[in-house]
Amino acid sequence: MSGDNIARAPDAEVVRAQAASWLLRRRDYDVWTEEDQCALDRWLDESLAHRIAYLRLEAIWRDADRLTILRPRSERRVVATLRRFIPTLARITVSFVVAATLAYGVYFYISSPVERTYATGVGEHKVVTLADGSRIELNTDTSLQMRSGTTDRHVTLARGEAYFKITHNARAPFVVETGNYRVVDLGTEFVLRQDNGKLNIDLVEGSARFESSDADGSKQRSIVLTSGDAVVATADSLSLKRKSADQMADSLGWRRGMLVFHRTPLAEVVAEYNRYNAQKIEIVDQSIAQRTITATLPVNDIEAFARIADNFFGLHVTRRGNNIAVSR
Amino acid sequence: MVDTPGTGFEDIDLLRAGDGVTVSEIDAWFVREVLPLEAILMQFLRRNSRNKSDVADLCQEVYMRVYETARERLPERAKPFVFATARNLLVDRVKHEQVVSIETVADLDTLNIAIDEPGPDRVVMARDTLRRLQAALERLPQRCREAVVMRKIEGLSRPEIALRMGITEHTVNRHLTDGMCLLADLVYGEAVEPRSNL
Repeated sequence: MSGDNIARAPDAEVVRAQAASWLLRRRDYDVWTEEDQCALDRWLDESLAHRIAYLRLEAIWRDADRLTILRPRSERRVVATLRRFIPTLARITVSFVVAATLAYGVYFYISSPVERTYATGVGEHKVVTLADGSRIELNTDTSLQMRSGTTDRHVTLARGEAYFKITHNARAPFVVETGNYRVVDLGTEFVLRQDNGKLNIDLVEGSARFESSDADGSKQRSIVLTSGDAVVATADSLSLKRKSADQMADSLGWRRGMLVFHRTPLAEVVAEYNRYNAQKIEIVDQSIAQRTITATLPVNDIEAFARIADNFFGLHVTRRGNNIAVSR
Repeated sequence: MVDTPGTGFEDIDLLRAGDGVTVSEIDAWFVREVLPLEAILMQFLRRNSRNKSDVADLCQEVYMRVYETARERLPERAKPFVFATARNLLVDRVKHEQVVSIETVADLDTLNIAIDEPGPDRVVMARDTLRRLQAALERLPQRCREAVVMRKIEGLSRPEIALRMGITEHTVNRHLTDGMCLLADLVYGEAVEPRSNL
């Protein structure tokens, strides 16, 4: 694009109408192919006026998605809608382009992908840098399979937690699948964690689309996530919260080997520790389970936890074989 | 109001250190910082343009200039930068006209006051976006609103909406594209209404 665009500004009304049609096709049609994306990219590059008109409408149309989820739960109709789709929730998709899933699914089978497995043991942390510059970090006790072809990049998170920083490539969307959920993303930074049927997605940077579908693939509804959004999905509930940049950074403490707790109940602190260590901590006395702790502690140093529990929180720490028991 | 001591646009600390801004950075900055200024920008342009009919085109041109400049570096503060750009655009317009009206020039010297007028600052905007969207939704023409609600709140597909409303998909498309444009105008383009109770 050059400065010439400024001299030949097209009629604002016309541009707006064109932008609206493009946006509708891209976000509200069931099929969106690679050719469509190329055509849209060409149109966006034709004039700065095009890009701006599109951005402006897209921001609003995207926000309008969130209107739904943030409505009071007491609204009967919304609750009814949620009830209807959640039990049949079979696939969750995060993407900029909803319909891309369908289209790229086809490309996936045509291309001949390279397949690799990456895994970490308890307490391990592994960083994988892909050829395209994307970065995946595996947290403790995590396993994922990576398949990359020329037209798609596909990750199956078998268990655990991983951080993804994806290099955008409109021609090869990044897909993350876990259990019954599916996430398609085109250029953001996010964390996926799944344990016991619960899926957490933290959107650290950028924006992405979160979508749930029926088993037969028919689309039910979708939410656009922007940075700071945190989704918790289980088989029978779905919630969207906002997290501050600090909270996001805290949940990512494991990337630098730290666990960050802010008024976290002891029960949760212990559960976190146990994810990272073969040596387990056990709360003997349930009356202390809800006591809260604010601290930043090294993930692998269970002794540090024991010392702090003893010295600062006045808890009674005893050895039980290999494990540590905490009581009042 | 008019004789506020002029803080010249030239001395504004426009740019942040660092070069090479990615497209997605500019896009995000533009949506976050510039679009929320639309209401006061439009007001400003309406008041200072002699041809009231081309305010939308002027606004578009301001946006283009702002975006173009942001490619080098993102302005430190969006608001003064956007209004400096708007002012320069109006000055250029006047220069290119054969007859320069004296009032126009006089007006232009006092344009900077607009910067201090209350406007939807972005923090307020972010907090209020959903509520504003909801309010905007209520103000859409009835059929248009129905289509948008079915799409966005009930999550129906376009063919399903067509069936439900008893209209063609083509008409559904029109309602939805109209809906997008109107929602954008209502959320960005209108001055902030007095805060109502939640």
